[in-house]
Amino acid sequence: MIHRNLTIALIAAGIYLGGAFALKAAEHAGAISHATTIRAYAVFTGLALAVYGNFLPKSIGRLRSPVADMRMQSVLRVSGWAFMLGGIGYALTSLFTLSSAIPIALLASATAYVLGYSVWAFMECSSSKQERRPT
Amino acid sequence: MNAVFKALSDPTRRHVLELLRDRPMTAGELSDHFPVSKPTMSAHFAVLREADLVDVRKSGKAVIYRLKLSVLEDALLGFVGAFSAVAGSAGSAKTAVSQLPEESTP
Repeated sequence: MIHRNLTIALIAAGIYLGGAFALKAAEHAGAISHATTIRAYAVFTGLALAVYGNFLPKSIGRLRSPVADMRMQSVLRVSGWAFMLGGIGYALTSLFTLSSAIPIALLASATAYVLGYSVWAFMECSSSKQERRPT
Repeated sequence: MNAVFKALSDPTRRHVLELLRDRPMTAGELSDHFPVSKPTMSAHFAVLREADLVDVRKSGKAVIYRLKLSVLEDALLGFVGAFSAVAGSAGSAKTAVSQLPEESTP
């Protein structure tokens, strides 16, 4: 399983770096402008994040306590949806807007939502653990 | 992907996935929700496992099922559920209309 995950991660990294080099090479050759390179790279990044978000809920890992498992499942699900929608939004807004502030704000909101939800789930999990502890 | 479509095509299997959305459950807890035999439920679980839509872990004597849906599979489950609900209500409306007495034309 670790071997498979490592292989997928290395292939993804290869595609990512290869794409970046190809864009830079095309810019050096004069085929595309610098602005197009930046925009294409942003679209590429957004789509990569969307793919990562899509598979995130599948990484549920080992078995924990029932409450922790329930919270973990909901955190992964919310994170997956937020990163996927954030990634697609980042790619689309990078493609169609001139300002980089909108895509970054979109991605920052998705990340903040995931962080907030994760902290809330962690707190809920800890409080339910304390409630179950005998006094 | 074929295995995913096959798994989602059955209403019992879709209901199992919807139950697992709330929390992980044991095989017994899941079976209690359906008026079918244990071998039938085991067959449904096997299809879900083959499609990699659920994760199965043993905890003592209990077999615990956990949801393992990607975002697209989750969306597909919602879409298929909504579509079958709409198709079901349209079908029952059609049946109700066909059972109405024919209007006499003047």
